[in-house]
Amino acid sequence: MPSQDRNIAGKVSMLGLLLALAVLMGYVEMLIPINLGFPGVKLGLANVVILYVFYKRGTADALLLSILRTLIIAALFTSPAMLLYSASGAAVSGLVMHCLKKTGLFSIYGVSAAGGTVHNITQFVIAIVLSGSGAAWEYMLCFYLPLLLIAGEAAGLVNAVIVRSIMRKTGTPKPERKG
Amino acid sequence: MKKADKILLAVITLSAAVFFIGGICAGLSSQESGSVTVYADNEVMAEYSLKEDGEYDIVTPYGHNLLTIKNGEAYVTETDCPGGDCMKMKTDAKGGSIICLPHHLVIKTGDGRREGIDAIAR
Repeated sequence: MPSQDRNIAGKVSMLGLLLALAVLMGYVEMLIPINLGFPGVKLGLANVVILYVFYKRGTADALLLSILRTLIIAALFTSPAMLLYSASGAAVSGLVMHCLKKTGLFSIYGVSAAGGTVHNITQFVIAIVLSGSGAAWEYMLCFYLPLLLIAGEAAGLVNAVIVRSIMRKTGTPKPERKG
Repeated sequence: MKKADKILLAVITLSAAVFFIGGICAGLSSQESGSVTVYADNEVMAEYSLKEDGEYDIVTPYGHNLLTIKNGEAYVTETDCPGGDCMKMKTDAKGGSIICLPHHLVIKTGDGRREGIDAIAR
């Protein structure tokens, strides 16, 4: 089945390209630190790619890309400890975004903003669980969490705007697969 | 952007605001309810609120000190030790400690350390 083969080869190479782009985006962002003085507050430019795939090719491909990107970034640039944060953040936000998209009530803006927010909430919860200290707990909940919520929301919105304009340039998303 | 999007964004923003405002209120009240802890021989002997003005006679086996709390500050106004160094110190809700070496007495607020420039040796 040559056509089937070409399809798979095309898919693999397309995803490979997108994966390389996603990894690179994360690296480029590391080079330009938007340092606001708070750890965890960043744009997450790589998610532009993931979000694009999520809307253009479906959840399965986006999930695959996200997992691979997380592993590659962890292997190349960050520590295994950071892998725990990024992987769980990606997993939970991916799940939430998938469910929100399925309801059909939300556009890319709402889905992306929710994804960014949930990603930050997940990382916050993990940080609390890992650090386990009682004293700073309330302080973090009251001052750091709102910051993370807003930051996640804003980053998600910005990414959605970028992806929306990319999709407008490259054609409307086609619902080629379920899920 | 759909209507549900706007509601979602509003909910996220609102919850952040609720946490923050709640935090400010809780933070302020915990600042006000600062307390003074008195240690003798490294054991907690007594605890007083910084909010309430008052004078407390602290008696250890080594001697006595009169702790005065006034306007959110704590200091020693009377002692029967020879040096009287503890009367030169004071502390408040920002943290700090008064130490009376001859009487094995430490009076702390906060974690006993003062944040700020003079907390570090330069």
